[in-house]
Amino acid sequence: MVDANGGLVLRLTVALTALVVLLVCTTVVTRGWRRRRERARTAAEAVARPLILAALDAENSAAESESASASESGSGSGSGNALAPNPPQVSPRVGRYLDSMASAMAGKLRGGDRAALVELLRRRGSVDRALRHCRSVFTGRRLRAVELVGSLGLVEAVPELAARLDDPDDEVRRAAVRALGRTAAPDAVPALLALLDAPQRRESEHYITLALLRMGPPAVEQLTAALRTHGPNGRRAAAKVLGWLGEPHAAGPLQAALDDAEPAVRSAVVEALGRIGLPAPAPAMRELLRSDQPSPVRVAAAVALGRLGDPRSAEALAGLLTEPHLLARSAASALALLGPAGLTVLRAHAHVPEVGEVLIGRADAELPDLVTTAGGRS
Amino acid sequence: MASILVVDDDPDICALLEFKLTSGGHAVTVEHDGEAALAALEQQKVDLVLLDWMMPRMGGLEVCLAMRADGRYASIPVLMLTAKAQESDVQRGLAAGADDYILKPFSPREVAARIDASLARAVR
Repeated sequence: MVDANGGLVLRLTVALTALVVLLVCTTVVTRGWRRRRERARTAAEAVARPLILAALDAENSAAESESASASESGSGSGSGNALAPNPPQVSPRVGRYLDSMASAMAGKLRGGDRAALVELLRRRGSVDRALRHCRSVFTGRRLRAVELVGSLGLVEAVPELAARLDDPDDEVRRAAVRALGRTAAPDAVPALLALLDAPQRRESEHYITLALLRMGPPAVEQLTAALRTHGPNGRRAAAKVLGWLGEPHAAGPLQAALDDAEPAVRSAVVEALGRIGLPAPAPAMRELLRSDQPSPVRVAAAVALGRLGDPRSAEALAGLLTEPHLLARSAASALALLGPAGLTVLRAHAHVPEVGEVLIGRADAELPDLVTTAGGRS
Repeated sequence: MASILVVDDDPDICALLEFKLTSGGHAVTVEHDGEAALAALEQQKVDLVLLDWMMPRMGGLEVCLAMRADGRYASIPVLMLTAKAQESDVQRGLAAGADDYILKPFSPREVAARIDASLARAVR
């Protein structure tokens, strides 16, 4: 019995010792491999970084000599690429780091230096390779390719990137959405908005609206067109982005969309008009305060009218002060932004709890000024 | 030649700006966070600070406020170089005492030109 127990203990001890030795060996090997990889990365970056900076230096020299010759001859400027040097010859390992660093740096720059980095990658064949790899069967390769062309914001990559919006991999799809935003290509707008109304929607509205916002003014025309042509989610997102962009030219198409069949779209449209801030749509916006409109639309209209600050909205907003809490509160807050006309209405309705809250809030905000003024008088 | 302190937690941006500004004849010191930037100001004469906003340990806005509150550094031009693009961010940056506000993505040549302009104004 004692021998049997002793044998079991011995076997357990041996097994545990072997396990510990295995863990120690694994840890040592992993750490060694990581250190080696880190050293290799540092060494490759040390080679790649000067090459990138040299490419930027060459671009600057070309731009300066062009500028000098243009001022001597009185002619306009052309492309600085005529004087760009041949791409540096490097090992495949350094080349990978060079591509990665140059594309990452290009994403942080604009102007001639950015163009120089794009040109460097083109001359190395990295752009063509990445465009091919966008269709690779390997997920990691597709992701790297999409991120590279995305950081460069290449308009020519729009078809490949749009094709990746249906990618089976989540990360690749999101990278494609971001990349399309960086291209600022108007052609990409319908493809991005269409994702929101796809039968099997897989991307969040947040990612897509951020990408559209990043496109900026070049996207405005397609966004305004989308107010008539897309599904309800696409129309709502288009309205939101137009509002965030604050584009005055979008006010007309947005005003025309105030009677959209979908309440969520009407809310987004009226909110966008409030953000843009032009006074002309105010009468049409006041129509959305009517009791036959759904409550969220009326709230959005009240907030937007507050943003516009048009005193002629005071009477229409006053009609909401007797409504349930959220509506009354929104109307009271909006009235507080209309100047003396709004304040007159608020004081006349001071017995309404929501109005009282807003008036107290104003008094709190103004108290320090009042105290200062009183102190100055004494 | 001016002594310029570049403060950014992105090593690529620091390398690029150091290269550009050194090529332009300036002496450049690089730091990667706000606390290190303030320590660098203690140790050497700096003519201009190029400052990122979002950094570890201490942000650029805090560095700017600390500089403006300290008589030794209050007159050093500060240029914010940041991705914070909201109107309210620009207002906060300038209200904190920044002399100029440059948005990322940026043009290094434009940054160099703005630095030269700031230095010229500081001399006047």
